[in-house]
Amino acid sequence: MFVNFRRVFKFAAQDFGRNIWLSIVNITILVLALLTINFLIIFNLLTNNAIHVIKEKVDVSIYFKQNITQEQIDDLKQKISSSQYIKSVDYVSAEESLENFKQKHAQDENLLSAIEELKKDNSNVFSASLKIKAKDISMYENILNELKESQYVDLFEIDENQFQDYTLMTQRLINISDKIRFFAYILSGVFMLIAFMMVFNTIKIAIYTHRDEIGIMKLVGATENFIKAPFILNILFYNIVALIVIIGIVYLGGAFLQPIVDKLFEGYTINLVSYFNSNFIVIFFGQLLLSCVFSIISSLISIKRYLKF
Amino acid sequence: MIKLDNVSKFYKPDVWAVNKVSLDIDPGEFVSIVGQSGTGKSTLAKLLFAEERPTEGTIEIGGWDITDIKQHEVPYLRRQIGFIFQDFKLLPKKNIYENISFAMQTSGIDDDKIKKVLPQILKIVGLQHKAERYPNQLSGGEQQRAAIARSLVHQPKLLIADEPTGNLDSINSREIIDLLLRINHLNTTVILVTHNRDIVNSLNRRVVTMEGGRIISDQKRGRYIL
Repeated sequence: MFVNFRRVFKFAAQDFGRNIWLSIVNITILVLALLTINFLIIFNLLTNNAIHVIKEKVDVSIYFKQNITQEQIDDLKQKISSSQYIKSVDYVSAEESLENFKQKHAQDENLLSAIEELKKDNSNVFSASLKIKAKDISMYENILNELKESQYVDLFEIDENQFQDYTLMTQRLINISDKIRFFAYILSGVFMLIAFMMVFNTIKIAIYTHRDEIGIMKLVGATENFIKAPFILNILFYNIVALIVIIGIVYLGGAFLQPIVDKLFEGYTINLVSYFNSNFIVIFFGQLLLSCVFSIISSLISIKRYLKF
Repeated sequence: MIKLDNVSKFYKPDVWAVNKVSLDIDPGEFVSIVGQSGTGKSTLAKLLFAEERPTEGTIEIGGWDITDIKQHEVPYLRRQIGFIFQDFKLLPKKNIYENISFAMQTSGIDDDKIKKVLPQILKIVGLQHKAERYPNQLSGGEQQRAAIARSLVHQPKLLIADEPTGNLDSINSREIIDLLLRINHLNTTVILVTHNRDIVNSLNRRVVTMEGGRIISDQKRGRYIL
Protein backbone atom coordinates (compact mmCIF):
# COMPACT_ATOMS: atom_id res chain seq x y z
CA MET A 1 0.00 0.00 0.00
CA PHE A 2 2.72 2.45 1.07
CA VAL A 3 4.95 1.32 -1.82
CA ASN A 4 2.15 2.00 -4.30
CA PHE A 5 1.44 5.38 -2.70
CA ARG A 6 5.10 6.35 -3.01
CA ARG A 7 5.17 5.19 -6.64
CA VAL A 8 2.06 7.17 -7.48
CA PHE A 9 3.79 10.29 -6.09
CA LYS A 10 6.91 9.50 -8.08
CA PHE A 11 4.99 8.95 -11.33
CA ALA A 12 3.03 12.15 -10.78
CA ALA A 13 6.23 14.14 -10.20
CA GLN A 14 7.88 12.56 -13.26
CA ASP A 15 4.86 13.28 -15.41
CA PHE A 16 4.78 16.90 -14.20
CA GLY A 17 8.43 17.45 -15.04
CA ARG A 18 8.58 15.50 -18.30
CA ASN A 19 5.43 17.14 -19.65
CA ILE A 20 6.41 20.55 -18.37
CA TRP A 21 4.72 22.51 -21.17
CA LEU A 22 1.49 20.64 -20.71
CA SER A 23 1.79 21.27 -16.96
CA ILE A 24 2.36 24.99 -17.56
CA VAL A 25 -0.64 25.19 -19.90
CA ASN A 26 -2.84 23.42 -17.34
CA ILE A 27 -1.69 25.70 -14.55
CA THR A 28 -2.18 28.79 -16.74
CA ILE A 29 -5.75 27.79 -17.56
CA LEU A 30 -6.46 27.17 -13.88
CA VAL A 31 -4.93 30.57 -13.02
CA LEU A 32 -7.17 32.23 -15.62
CA ALA A 33 -10.22 30.43 -14.25
CA LEU A 34 -9.38 31.45 -10.68
CA LEU A 35 -8.61 34.98 -11.85
CA THR A 36 -12.14 35.16 -13.21
CA ILE A 37 -13.53 34.09 -9.84
CA ASN A 38 -11.39 36.65 -7.98
CA PHE A 39 -12.33 39.36 -10.44
CA LEU A 40 -15.97 38.57 -9.66
CA ILE A 41 -15.28 38.70 -5.92
CA ILE A 42 -13.73 42.18 -6.30
CA PHE A 43 -16.50 43.28 -8.65
CA ASN A 44 -19.18 42.19 -6.16
CA LEU A 45 -17.28 43.80 -3.30
CA LEU A 46 -17.04 47.15 -5.11
CA THR A 47 -20.64 46.98 -6.30
CA ASN A 48 -21.90 46.32 -2.78
CA ASN A 49 -19.67 49.08 -1.44
CA ALA A 50 -20.99 51.51 -4.06
CA ILE A 51 -24.56 50.73 -3.06
CA HIS A 52 -23.60 51.06 0.61
CA VAL A 53 -21.92 54.42 -0.03
CA ILE A 54 -24.98 55.79 -1.82
CA LYS A 55 -27.21 54.63 1.03
CA GLU A 56 -24.85 56.11 3.60
CA LYS A 57 -24.88 59.50 1.93
CA VAL A 58 -28.64 59.83 2.15
CA ASP A 59 -30.02 61.84 5.07
CA VAL A 60 -32.90 64.21 5.72
CA SER A 61 -33.12 67.35 7.78
CA ILE A 62 -35.93 68.78 9.84
CA TYR A 63 -35.76 72.50 10.54
CA PHE A 64 -36.75 74.06 13.85
CA LYS A 65 -38.97 77.03 14.05
CA GLN A 66 -37.23 80.24 15.16
CA ASN A 67 -38.49 80.50 18.73
CA ILE A 68 -37.44 77.03 19.93
CA THR A 69 -35.25 76.69 23.03
CA GLN A 70 -32.15 74.53 23.23
CA GLU A 71 -33.87 72.43 25.87
CA GLN A 72 -36.70 71.60 23.50
CA ILE A 73 -34.22 70.76 20.80
CA ASP A 74 -32.29 68.39 23.08
CA ASP A 75 -35.51 66.80 24.23
CA LEU A 76 -36.67 66.22 20.67
CA LYS A 77 -33.29 64.91 19.60
CA GLN A 78 -33.30 62.39 22.41
CA LYS A 79 -36.84 61.38 21.66
CA ILE A 80 -36.39 60.71 17.96
CA SER A 81 -33.00 59.07 18.48
CA SER A 82 -34.82 56.24 20.21
CA SER A 83 -36.83 55.45 17.08
CA GLN A 84 -36.31 51.94 15.72
CA TYR A 85 -35.91 53.37 12.22
CA ILE A 86 -33.21 55.93 12.99
CA LYS A 87 -29.51 55.29 12.93
CA SER A 88 -28.23 58.73 13.95
CA VAL A 89 -29.43 62.25 14.65
CA ASP A 90 -27.05 65.20 14.40
CA TYR A 91 -27.84 68.68 15.57
CA VAL A 92 -26.84 71.50 13.21
CA SER A 93 -27.11 75.02 14.66
CA ALA A 94 -28.29 77.96 12.56
CA GLU A 95 -24.74 79.35 12.58
CA GLU A 96 -23.30 76.08 11.38
CA SER A 97 -25.89 75.93 8.62
CA LEU A 98 -24.91 79.43 7.56
CA GLU A 99 -21.21 78.54 7.56
CA ASN A 100 -21.87 75.36 5.61
CA PHE A 101 -23.87 77.32 3.08
CA LYS A 102 -21.09 79.91 2.73
CA GLN A 103 -18.48 77.26 2.20
CA LYS A 104 -20.62 75.51 -0.33
CA HIS A 105 -21.19 78.69 -2.31
CA ALA A 106 -17.81 80.33 -1.77
CA GLN A 107 -17.51 81.06 -5.49
CA ASP A 108 -20.88 82.76 -5.79
CA GLU A 109 -20.16 86.34 -4.72
CA ASN A 110 -23.66 87.63 -5.41
CA LEU A 111 -25.17 85.02 -3.16
CA LEU A 112 -22.64 85.66 -0.41
CA SER A 113 -23.16 89.43 -0.51
CA ALA A 114 -26.90 88.88 -0.28
CA ILE A 115 -26.35 86.76 2.82
CA GLU A 116 -24.11 89.50 4.28
CA GLU A 117 -26.87 92.04 3.67
CA LEU A 118 -29.26 89.91 5.60
CA LYS A 119 -26.79 89.54 8.45
CA LYS A 120 -26.62 93.34 8.79
CA ASP A 121 -30.23 93.18 9.88
CA ASN A 122 -29.03 90.71 12.47
CA SER A 123 -31.14 87.99 10.99
CA ASN A 124 -30.10 84.48 9.92
CA VAL A 125 -32.10 83.00 7.09
CA PHE A 126 -31.04 79.58 8.27
CA SER A 127 -32.59 77.86 11.22
CA ALA A 128 -31.25 75.09 13.45
CA SER A 129 -31.92 71.61 12.16
CA LEU A 130 -31.59 67.90 12.92
CA LYS A 131 -29.87 65.78 10.33
CA ILE A 132 -31.48 62.34 10.47
CA LYS A 133 -29.99 59.20 9.02
CA ALA A 134 -32.17 56.09 8.76
CA LYS A 135 -31.00 52.57 9.56
CA ASP A 136 -32.07 51.60 6.09
CA ILE A 137 -32.87 53.72 3.12
CA SER A 138 -36.35 52.24 2.89
CA MET A 139 -37.27 53.57 6.37
CA TYR A 140 -37.56 57.27 5.58
CA GLU A 141 -41.29 57.01 4.99
CA ASN A 142 -41.76 55.45 8.43
CA ILE A 143 -39.64 58.21 10.00
CA LEU A 144 -41.77 60.86 8.30
CA ASN A 145 -44.94 59.26 9.64
CA GLU A 146 -43.48 59.00 13.13
CA LEU A 147 -42.42 62.66 13.10
CA LYS A 148 -45.81 63.82 11.83
CA GLU A 149 -47.59 61.90 14.54
CA SER A 150 -45.28 62.95 17.36
CA GLN A 151 -46.24 65.44 20.08
CA TYR A 152 -43.43 67.76 18.97
CA VAL A 153 -44.79 68.25 15.48
CA ASP A 154 -45.31 71.97 16.14
CA LEU A 155 -41.63 72.54 16.93
CA PHE A 156 -40.25 71.96 13.48
CA GLU A 157 -41.01 72.19 9.84
CA ILE A 158 -40.87 69.21 7.62
CA ASP A 159 -40.23 69.57 3.98
CA GLU A 160 -42.47 66.68 2.96
CA ASN A 161 -41.20 66.94 -0.59
CA GLN A 162 -37.80 66.06 0.75
CA PHE A 163 -39.15 62.86 2.27
CA GLN A 164 -41.22 62.07 -0.79
CA ASP A 165 -38.20 62.67 -2.99
CA TYR A 166 -36.25 60.29 -0.81
CA THR A 167 -39.01 57.72 -0.91
CA LEU A 168 -38.93 57.93 -4.68
CA MET A 169 -35.16 57.85 -4.70
CA THR A 170 -35.21 54.94 -2.30
CA GLN A 171 -37.41 52.99 -4.64
CA ARG A 172 -35.10 53.77 -7.52
CA LEU A 173 -31.98 52.95 -5.57
CA ILE A 174 -33.40 49.63 -4.39
CA ASN A 175 -34.38 48.88 -7.99
CA ILE A 176 -30.95 49.83 -9.27
CA SER A 177 -29.12 47.88 -6.57
CA ASP A 178 -31.32 44.84 -7.22
CA LYS A 179 -30.57 45.13 -10.94
CA ILE A 180 -26.85 45.52 -10.30
CA ARG A 181 -26.89 42.46 -8.04
CA PHE A 182 -28.90 40.49 -10.58
CA PHE A 183 -26.49 41.53 -13.31
CA ALA A 184 -23.53 40.62 -11.08
CA TYR A 185 -25.04 37.17 -10.41
CA ILE A 186 -25.67 36.56 -14.11
CA LEU A 187 -22.17 37.79 -14.96
CA SER A 188 -20.72 35.61 -12.20
CA GLY A 189 -22.66 32.62 -13.47
CA VAL A 190 -21.55 33.14 -17.07
CA PHE A 191 -17.92 33.72 -16.11
CA MET A 192 -17.91 30.72 -13.77
CA LEU A 193 -19.39 28.58 -16.53
CA ILE A 194 -16.72 29.79 -18.96
CA ALA A 195 -14.03 29.11 -16.34
CA PHE A 196 -15.38 25.61 -15.69
CA MET A 197 -15.62 24.85 -19.41
CA MET A 198 -12.04 26.03 -19.88
CA VAL A 199 -10.78 23.80 -17.07
CA PHE A 200 -12.87 20.82 -18.21
CA ASN A 201 -11.64 21.04 -21.79
CA THR A 202 -8.01 21.56 -20.79
CA ILE A 203 -8.10 18.47 -18.60
CA LYS A 204 -9.87 16.57 -21.36
CA ILE A 205 -7.12 17.53 -23.82
CA ALA A 206 -4.40 16.68 -21.26
CA ILE A 207 -5.88 13.21 -20.75
CA TYR A 208 -6.37 12.80 -24.51
CA THR A 209 -2.66 13.44 -25.07
CA HIS A 210 -1.97 10.63 -22.60
CA ARG A 211 -4.41 8.17 -24.18
CA ASP A 212 -1.70 5.99 -25.77
CA GLU A 213 0.20 5.85 -22.50
CA ILE A 214 -2.96 4.87 -20.67
CA GLY A 215 -3.47 2.08 -23.23
CA ILE A 216 0.09 0.83 -22.69
CA MET A 217 -0.28 0.96 -18.91
CA LYS A 218 -3.40 -1.18 -19.23
CA LEU A 219 -1.58 -3.65 -21.44
CA VAL A 220 1.21 -4.20 -18.94
CA GLY A 221 -1.23 -4.98 -16.17
CA ALA A 222 -1.77 -1.67 -14.38
CA THR A 223 -5.05 -1.48 -12.50
CA GLU A 224 -7.51 1.36 -13.04
CA ASN A 225 -6.55 3.08 -9.79
CA PHE A 226 -2.83 2.73 -10.46
CA ILE A 227 -3.34 4.55 -13.78
CA LYS A 228 -5.72 7.19 -12.44
CA ALA A 229 -3.92 8.11 -9.24
CA PRO A 230 -0.91 9.98 -10.74
CA PHE A 231 -3.27 12.01 -12.97
CA ILE A 232 -5.41 12.99 -10.00
CA LEU A 233 -2.34 13.83 -7.93
CA ASN A 234 -0.95 16.00 -10.72
CA ILE A 235 -4.24 17.82 -11.05
CA LEU A 236 -4.19 18.53 -7.32
CA PHE A 237 -0.67 19.83 -7.71
CA TYR A 238 -1.69 22.05 -10.67
CA ASN A 239 -4.46 23.50 -8.51
CA ILE A 240 -2.12 24.23 -5.60
CA VAL A 241 0.43 25.95 -7.87
CA ALA A 242 -2.37 27.90 -9.60
CA LEU A 243 -3.70 29.02 -6.20
CA ILE A 244 -0.26 30.24 -5.09
CA VAL A 245 0.06 32.22 -8.34
CA ILE A 246 -3.44 33.65 -7.96
CA ILE A 247 -2.80 34.73 -4.35
CA GLY A 248 0.23 36.66 -5.62
CA ILE A 249 -1.78 38.23 -8.45
CA VAL A 250 -4.70 39.16 -6.17
CA TYR A 251 -2.49 40.84 -3.56
CA LEU A 252 -0.39 42.68 -6.15
CA GLY A 253 -3.53 43.64 -8.07
CA GLY A 254 -5.23 44.73 -4.84
CA ALA A 255 -2.31 47.00 -3.94
CA PHE A 256 -2.29 48.39 -7.49
CA LEU A 257 -6.05 49.01 -7.56
CA GLN A 258 -6.25 50.53 -4.06
CA PRO A 259 -5.50 54.18 -5.07
CA ILE A 260 -8.15 53.93 -7.79
CA VAL A 261 -10.68 52.49 -5.34
CA ASP A 262 -9.79 55.19 -2.78
CA LYS A 263 -10.44 57.87 -5.35
CA LEU A 264 -13.69 56.26 -6.45
CA PHE A 265 -15.12 55.93 -2.94
CA GLU A 266 -13.78 59.08 -1.28
CA GLY A 267 -14.34 58.81 2.45
CA TYR A 268 -16.07 55.44 2.12
CA THR A 269 -13.23 53.42 0.68
CA ILE A 270 -12.67 49.75 1.22
CA ASN A 271 -9.25 48.22 1.69
CA LEU A 272 -8.95 45.35 -0.78
CA VAL A 273 -5.87 43.77 0.77
CA SER A 274 -7.45 43.89 4.25
CA TYR A 275 -10.61 42.37 2.83
CA PHE A 276 -8.67 39.45 1.33
CA ASN A 277 -6.63 39.13 4.53
CA SER A 278 -9.65 38.87 6.77
CA ASN A 279 -11.43 36.44 4.41
CA PHE A 280 -8.32 34.55 3.31
CA ILE A 281 -9.43 31.07 4.34
CA VAL A 282 -12.96 31.36 2.97
CA ILE A 283 -11.88 32.94 -0.33
CA PHE A 284 -8.72 31.03 -1.20
CA PHE A 285 -9.32 27.65 0.43
CA GLY A 286 -12.86 27.81 -0.90
CA GLN A 287 -11.48 28.34 -4.40
CA LEU A 288 -8.94 25.56 -3.93
CA LEU A 289 -11.64 23.17 -2.80
CA LEU A 290 -13.97 24.17 -5.63
CA SER A 291 -11.30 23.95 -8.34
CA CYS A 292 -9.93 20.65 -6.99
CA VAL A 293 -13.34 19.02 -6.81
CA PHE A 294 -14.28 20.27 -10.27
CA SER A 295 -11.00 19.35 -11.94
CA ILE A 296 -10.92 15.91 -10.32
CA ILE A 297 -14.47 15.24 -11.50
CA SER A 298 -13.46 16.50 -14.98
CA SER A 299 -10.44 14.24 -15.08
CA LEU A 300 -12.39 11.20 -13.87
CA ILE A 301 -14.99 11.80 -16.58
CA SER A 302 -12.29 12.36 -19.24
CA ILE A 303 -10.15 9.37 -18.29
CA LYS A 304 -13.06 6.93 -17.98
CA ARG A 305 -13.36 6.25 -21.71
CA TYR A 306 -9.68 5.32 -21.98
CA LEU A 307 -9.78 3.00 -18.98
CA LYS A 308 -12.20 0.42 -20.36
CA PHE A 309 -10.46 -2.92 -20.38
CA MET B 1 -2.29 -24.17 -21.99
CA ILE B 2 -4.70 -22.40 -24.37
CA LYS B 3 -8.07 -23.75 -25.44
CA LEU B 4 -10.34 -21.93 -27.85
CA ASP B 5 -13.67 -23.60 -28.44
CA ASN B 6 -15.81 -22.38 -31.35
CA VAL B 7 -14.75 -18.79 -30.77
CA SER B 8 -16.27 -16.05 -32.93
CA LYS B 9 -15.98 -12.29 -32.86
CA PHE B 10 -18.56 -10.16 -34.64
CA TYR B 11 -18.17 -6.45 -35.42
CA LYS B 12 -21.08 -4.32 -36.52
CA PRO B 13 -22.48 -4.03 -39.07
CA ASP B 14 -21.68 -7.38 -40.62
CA VAL B 15 -18.08 -8.53 -40.04
CA TRP B 16 -17.17 -11.86 -38.47
CA ALA B 17 -13.48 -11.12 -37.76
CA VAL B 18 -13.06 -14.53 -36.15
CA ASN B 19 -15.48 -17.26 -37.13
CA LYS B 20 -15.92 -20.49 -35.15
CA VAL B 21 -12.25 -20.96 -34.35
CA SER B 22 -11.23 -23.94 -32.22
CA LEU B 23 -7.60 -24.27 -31.24
CA ASP B 24 -5.55 -26.08 -28.61
CA ILE B 25 -2.01 -24.95 -27.80
CA ASP B 26 0.14 -26.99 -25.45
CA PRO B 27 2.60 -25.55 -22.90
CA GLY B 28 5.99 -24.78 -24.42
CA GLU B 29 4.76 -24.72 -28.03
CA PHE B 30 5.91 -22.11 -30.58
CA VAL B 31 2.92 -21.40 -32.81
CA SER B 32 2.86 -19.04 -35.77
CA ILE B 33 -0.56 -17.71 -36.72
CA VAL B 34 -0.34 -16.56 -40.31
CA GLY B 35 -2.60 -15.09 -42.91
CA GLN B 36 -3.06 -12.01 -45.02
CA SER B 37 -4.17 -8.67 -43.56
CA GLY B 38 -7.74 -8.67 -42.29
CA THR B 39 -8.01 -12.42 -41.78
CA GLY B 40 -8.57 -12.16 -38.02
CA LYS B 41 -5.06 -12.94 -36.70
CA SER B 42 -4.75 -9.81 -34.56
CA THR B 43 -8.36 -10.10 -33.39
CA LEU B 44 -7.53 -13.62 -32.21
CA ALA B 45 -4.52 -12.24 -30.30
CA LYS B 46 -6.70 -9.49 -28.78
CA LEU B 47 -9.17 -12.12 -27.61
CA LEU B 48 -6.32 -13.92 -25.83
CA PHE B 49 -5.32 -10.90 -23.73
CA ALA B 50 -8.90 -9.76 -23.19
CA GLU B 51 -8.74 -6.59 -25.21
CA GLU B 52 -11.79 -7.97 -26.96
CA ARG B 53 -14.49 -10.33 -25.69
CA PRO B 54 -15.73 -13.18 -27.89
CA THR B 55 -19.23 -12.96 -29.34
CA GLU B 56 -19.50 -16.75 -29.17
CA GLY B 57 -17.48 -19.65 -27.82
CA THR B 58 -15.15 -20.02 -24.85
CA ILE B 59 -11.50 -19.17 -24.21
CA GLU B 60 -9.39 -20.82 -21.54
CA ILE B 61 -5.81 -19.86 -20.64
CA GLY B 62 -3.93 -22.01 -18.14
CA GLY B 63 -7.22 -23.37 -16.86
CA TRP B 64 -8.71 -19.87 -16.42
CA ASP B 65 -11.91 -19.32 -18.39
CA ILE B 66 -11.51 -15.74 -19.61
CA THR B 67 -14.58 -15.75 -21.90
CA ASP B 68 -16.51 -13.37 -19.66
CA ILE B 69 -13.58 -12.03 -17.66
CA LYS B 70 -14.53 -9.10 -15.43
CA GLN B 71 -12.97 -5.65 -15.92
CA HIS B 72 -11.13 -5.73 -12.60
CA GLU B 73 -9.65 -9.16 -13.37
CA VAL B 74 -8.07 -8.11 -16.67
CA PRO B 75 -4.90 -6.55 -15.14
CA TYR B 76 -4.21 -9.80 -13.29
CA LEU B 77 -4.57 -11.81 -16.52
CA ARG B 78 -2.21 -9.46 -18.33
CA ARG B 79 0.45 -9.79 -15.67
CA GLN B 80 0.58 -13.49 -16.52
CA ILE B 81 0.91 -12.99 -20.27
CA GLY B 82 3.68 -11.24 -22.15
CA PHE B 83 2.86 -9.17 -25.24
CA ILE B 84 4.86 -7.52 -27.94
CA PHE B 85 3.48 -5.46 -30.78
CA GLN B 86 4.53 -4.08 -34.13
CA ASP B 87 4.59 -0.51 -32.72
CA PHE B 88 6.48 -1.57 -29.55
CA LYS B 89 4.07 0.29 -27.23
CA LEU B 90 6.71 1.75 -24.98
CA LEU B 91 5.88 4.72 -22.77
CA PRO B 92 7.55 7.65 -24.58
CA LYS B 93 8.18 9.76 -21.47
CA LYS B 94 9.87 6.97 -19.53
CA ASN B 95 13.33 5.63 -20.19
CA ILE B 96 13.90 1.95 -20.91
CA TYR B 97 14.63 1.09 -17.28
CA GLU B 98 11.46 2.88 -16.19
CA ASN B 99 9.39 1.30 -18.96
CA ILE B 100 10.35 -2.16 -17.83
CA SER B 101 10.19 -1.45 -14.11
CA PHE B 102 6.74 0.10 -14.58
CA ALA B 103 5.39 -3.31 -15.58
CA MET B 104 6.81 -4.74 -12.34
CA GLN B 105 5.60 -1.84 -10.23
CA THR B 106 2.02 -2.34 -11.38
CA SER B 107 1.93 -5.64 -9.54
CA GLY B 108 3.47 -4.18 -6.38
CA ILE B 109 6.91 -5.81 -6.70
CA ASP B 110 9.25 -4.09 -4.25
CA ASP B 111 12.14 -1.89 -5.39
CA ASP B 112 14.86 -4.23 -4.14
CA LYS B 113 13.58 -7.07 -6.28
CA ILE B 114 13.22 -4.76 -9.27
CA LYS B 115 16.83 -3.60 -8.85
CA LYS B 116 17.95 -7.20 -8.71
CA VAL B 117 15.91 -8.68 -11.57
CA LEU B 118 15.82 -5.86 -14.07
CA PRO B 119 19.54 -5.75 -15.00
CA GLN B 120 19.40 -9.49 -15.70
CA ILE B 121 16.46 -9.05 -18.05
CA LEU B 122 18.16 -6.12 -19.77
CA LYS B 123 21.21 -8.35 -20.26
CA ILE B 124 19.09 -11.09 -21.86
CA VAL B 125 17.87 -8.63 -24.50
CA GLY B 126 21.25 -6.90 -24.81
CA LEU B 127 20.15 -3.47 -23.59
CA GLN B 128 22.09 -3.31 -20.34
CA HIS B 129 24.04 -0.26 -21.56
CA LYS B 130 21.03 1.60 -22.90
CA ALA B 131 18.74 1.45 -19.87
CA GLU B 132 18.78 5.23 -19.37
CA ARG B 133 17.77 6.00 -22.93
CA TYR B 134 14.29 6.99 -23.97
CA PRO B 135 12.43 5.02 -26.67
CA ASN B 136 13.01 7.70 -29.31
CA GLN B 137 16.77 7.39 -28.71
CA LEU B 138 16.76 3.71 -29.73
CA SER B 139 16.52 1.92 -33.08
CA GLY B 140 13.40 -0.09 -33.96
CA GLY B 141 15.14 -3.36 -33.12
CA GLU B 142 16.28 -2.03 -29.75
CA GLN B 143 12.83 -0.76 -28.96
CA GLN B 144 11.37 -4.16 -29.76
CA ARG B 145 13.97 -5.82 -27.54
CA ALA B 146 12.99 -3.42 -24.75
CA ALA B 147 9.36 -4.41 -25.29
CA ILE B 148 10.36 -8.08 -25.06
CA ALA B 149 12.27 -7.36 -21.84
CA ARG B 150 9.17 -5.71 -20.44
CA SER B 151 7.05 -8.70 -21.42
CA LEU B 152 9.41 -11.02 -19.55
CA VAL B 153 9.38 -9.30 -16.16
CA HIS B 154 6.48 -11.36 -14.86
CA GLN B 155 8.11 -14.56 -16.16
CA PRO B 156 5.02 -15.33 -18.22
CA LYS B 157 4.09 -18.82 -19.31
CA LEU B 158 2.65 -17.34 -22.49
CA LEU B 159 4.09 -14.70 -24.83
CA ILE B 160 1.96 -13.24 -27.61
CA ALA B 161 3.86 -11.42 -30.35
CA ASP B 162 1.59 -9.53 -32.75
CA GLU B 163 3.57 -8.70 -35.91
CA PRO B 164 6.75 -8.03 -33.86
CA THR B 165 8.91 -7.64 -36.97
CA GLY B 166 6.48 -5.49 -38.95
CA ASN B 167 8.51 -2.32 -38.44
CA LEU B 168 11.97 -3.88 -38.56
CA ASP B 169 14.54 -4.62 -41.26
CA SER B 170 15.51 -8.23 -41.96
CA ILE B 171 18.56 -8.26 -39.63
CA ASN B 172 16.64 -6.85 -36.68
CA SER B 173 13.71 -9.13 -37.51
CA ARG B 174 15.99 -12.14 -37.33
CA GLU B 175 17.37 -10.97 -33.97
CA ILE B 176 13.88 -10.62 -32.54
CA ILE B 177 12.82 -14.05 -33.78
CA ASP B 178 15.98 -15.58 -32.31
CA LEU B 179 15.15 -13.91 -29.03
CA LEU B 180 11.64 -15.35 -29.14
CA LEU B 181 13.08 -18.81 -29.81
CA ARG B 182 15.41 -18.46 -26.80
CA ILE B 183 12.45 -17.48 -24.65
CA ASN B 184 10.55 -20.49 -26.00
CA HIS B 185 13.46 -22.73 -25.04
CA LEU B 186 12.92 -21.55 -21.45
CA ASN B 187 9.53 -23.31 -21.73
CA THR B 188 7.45 -20.22 -22.43
CA THR B 189 4.63 -20.76 -24.93
CA VAL B 190 5.04 -18.32 -27.81
CA ILE B 191 2.29 -17.29 -30.21
CA LEU B 192 3.69 -15.38 -33.16
CA VAL B 193 1.15 -13.51 -35.28
CA THR B 194 2.77 -12.61 -38.58
CA HIS B 195 2.46 -12.47 -42.33
CA ASN B 196 6.22 -12.66 -42.88
CA ARG B 197 6.67 -15.70 -45.12
CA ASP B 198 10.47 -15.99 -44.73
CA ILE B 199 10.36 -15.98 -40.96
CA VAL B 200 7.59 -18.58 -40.78
CA ASN B 201 9.32 -20.85 -43.26
CA SER B 202 12.63 -20.59 -41.39
CA LEU B 203 11.12 -21.58 -38.05
CA ASN B 204 9.91 -25.07 -38.96
CA ARG B 205 7.38 -24.97 -36.10
CA ARG B 206 3.61 -25.25 -35.86
CA VAL B 207 1.78 -22.97 -38.29
CA VAL B 208 -1.91 -22.07 -38.03
CA THR B 209 -3.19 -20.40 -41.21
CA MET B 210 -6.26 -18.15 -41.15
CA GLU B 211 -8.44 -16.86 -43.93
CA GLY B 212 -11.73 -15.00 -43.63
CA GLY B 213 -11.71 -15.38 -39.85
CA ARG B 214 -11.44 -19.18 -40.01
CA ILE B 215 -8.55 -21.59 -39.55
CA ILE B 216 -7.90 -23.19 -42.92
CA SER B 217 -4.76 -25.09 -41.99
CA ASP B 218 -2.96 -26.24 -38.82
CA GLN B 219 0.40 -27.97 -39.46
CA LYS B 220 2.71 -29.32 -36.76
CA ARG B 221 5.83 -28.33 -38.69
CA GLY B 222 4.40 -26.10 -41.30
CA ARG B 223 5.19 -23.51 -43.91
CA TYR B 224 3.54 -20.35 -45.08
CA ILE B 225 1.11 -21.74 -47.61
CA LEU B 226 -0.84 -18.71 -48.84
